[in-house]
Amino acid sequence: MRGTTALSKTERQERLKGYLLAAPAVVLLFIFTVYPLCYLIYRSLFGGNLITKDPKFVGLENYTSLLESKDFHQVLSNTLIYTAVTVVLTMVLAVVIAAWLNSKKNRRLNELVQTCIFTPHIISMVSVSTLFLWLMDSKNGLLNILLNALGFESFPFLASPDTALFSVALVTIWKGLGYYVLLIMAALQNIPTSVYEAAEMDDTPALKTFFKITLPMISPTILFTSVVATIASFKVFDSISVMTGGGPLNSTNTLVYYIYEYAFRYGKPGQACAAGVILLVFVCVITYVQFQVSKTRVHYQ
Amino acid sequence: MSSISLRNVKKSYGNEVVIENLNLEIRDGSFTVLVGPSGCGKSTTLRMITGLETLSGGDIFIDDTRVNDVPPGKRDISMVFQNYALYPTMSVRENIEFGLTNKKIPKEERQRRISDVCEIVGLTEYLDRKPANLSGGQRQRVALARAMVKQPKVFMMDEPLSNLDAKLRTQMRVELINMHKRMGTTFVYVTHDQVEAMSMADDIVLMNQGKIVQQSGPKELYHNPNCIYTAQFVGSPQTNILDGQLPEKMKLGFRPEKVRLHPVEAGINIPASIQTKEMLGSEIIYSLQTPYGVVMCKSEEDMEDAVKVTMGVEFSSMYLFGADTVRLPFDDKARAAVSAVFGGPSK
Repeated sequence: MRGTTALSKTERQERLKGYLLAAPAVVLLFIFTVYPLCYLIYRSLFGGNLITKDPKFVGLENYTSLLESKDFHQVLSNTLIYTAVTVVLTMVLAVVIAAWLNSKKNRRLNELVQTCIFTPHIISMVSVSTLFLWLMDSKNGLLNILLNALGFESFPFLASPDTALFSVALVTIWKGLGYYVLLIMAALQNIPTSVYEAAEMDDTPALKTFFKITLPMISPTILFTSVVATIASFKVFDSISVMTGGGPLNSTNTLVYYIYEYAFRYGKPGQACAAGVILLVFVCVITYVQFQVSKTRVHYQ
Repeated sequence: MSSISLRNVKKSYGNEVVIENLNLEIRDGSFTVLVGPSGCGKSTTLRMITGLETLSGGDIFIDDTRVNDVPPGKRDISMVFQNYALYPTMSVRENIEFGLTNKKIPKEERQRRISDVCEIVGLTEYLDRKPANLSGGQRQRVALARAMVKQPKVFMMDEPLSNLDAKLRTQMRVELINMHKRMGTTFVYVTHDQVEAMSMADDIVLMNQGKIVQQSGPKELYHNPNCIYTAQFVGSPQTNILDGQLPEKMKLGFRPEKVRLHPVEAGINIPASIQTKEMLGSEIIYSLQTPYGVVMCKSEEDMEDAVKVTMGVEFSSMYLFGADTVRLPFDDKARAAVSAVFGGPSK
């Protein structure tokens, strides 16, 4: 009898220890993720401004006014275009560059390129944005000076509604590329050389080796990185805040920046929260779709 | 079907010379096994024949065609890798078919060849599985099927059985011998395992430190070693060498199974005591303490432990080696010298 109680006591202590160790993370997760998420949904059903003491319950009014607003439609399409452009270009470039860097030729040069390409990742987005704000200046920016020197006409970059969103996307790609290249290179290095040797013995052309062997074998990493990149693009804020402030003509206004403006500029937390819920739904749906696609396309070992 | 010949082949990585000057002829249709300890250059030699490794010097000919600059896929060679190197994202069928589509073989022909090969190696019911869902033995079969289906001139295997358990290995050994008989293709097989080499090869190339020590059939290699290295590499326990007694630093060698636990007539007889006894079933391995050191003996005779015996070895089963470890002829002069040192035949 004594033996079993002693055992269950140590067992209980062992369990308690487990809960105690997990507690800090769980508590923080609740305070900073779960609670705000619930509050976001709750607050989106109320009107009032930031200092209203008892905001009025308005039901889905915030949602209907958002969905009727032309500006919001543009914000949604801006966000989708921005995400599509950054994710697709980042993934394609990252895979191509990683495959190139992973080849065994020019090891010195590859290391240099790898360092150069990764460095932007460790610089803060605000610094990068400020830098590109100067570089992309339509009159005195270094990029246009270079273009002019090469005999091309000046490019408007951030000054025109037609090119501003792409210019911002370009900065994001430039900054994020190194990180994704690194992840994909790690995946490439996990492919055993003997598989490539087998392909060589099978007389496989280089392109076919890439599409039939390399790409399927790194597909789990490509899925992971594209999900991460998609969510990051949906959340873009600092570069827009620094470089364009959503302009010109609302052309670079994206969801998170819109939420920020409604909450803290226009003092309409109800609408901001409703937009936040819509963002949440978007991210959920897109991630779900990515995972569904992956079921047939991604190969796990 | 084709012969392979390596002429003055060199291989070095930077300053490190792995193979200095290798000359090797592999007969058309033979089952040639390159065997030796790890790092002896046997895998490098195989990889140079396949083209996966470049040569630092010399030439390789397949059927009198110089192939130094022919890429691996165009040499008409198939290879089975140690870790199988299957394409993990493809099904068994796709794995086997991959090389054929690259060679632009028409679909009906591909289907026919795949079903033929799968029949032979017994994979028919696994064609739609991925390699991850196969056992080690089945993966091995996929690797074999992938190599066979191309109907190559030469079949290369780099330690293909080393990832299998002992039982499966013995079984696959028999299957490989049968496969070779049926296909009649030249097989080049690399292993560090002398048992594998002896059991499968009709030609063994024993290598050490980038050089060929001896090339001959398994029987010849076993009964007629040209140096101490060969004598000790094949056979278990290894050949006894008595060193330090004979004049001119000559050494006397004889295999454990040739040691008798009783006096012999045409040979030497040495007093010995049994130190240890290992029961193997059909035979027993004894270690004998003699005035000239420890001698291993493999015998069917069941003796008591710690017993004093007279150990006998016949002249006909002795090997004489010179100071440079190279085999010497065992002539009357040698016989007299051996008798003088170790005591002659019993009366």
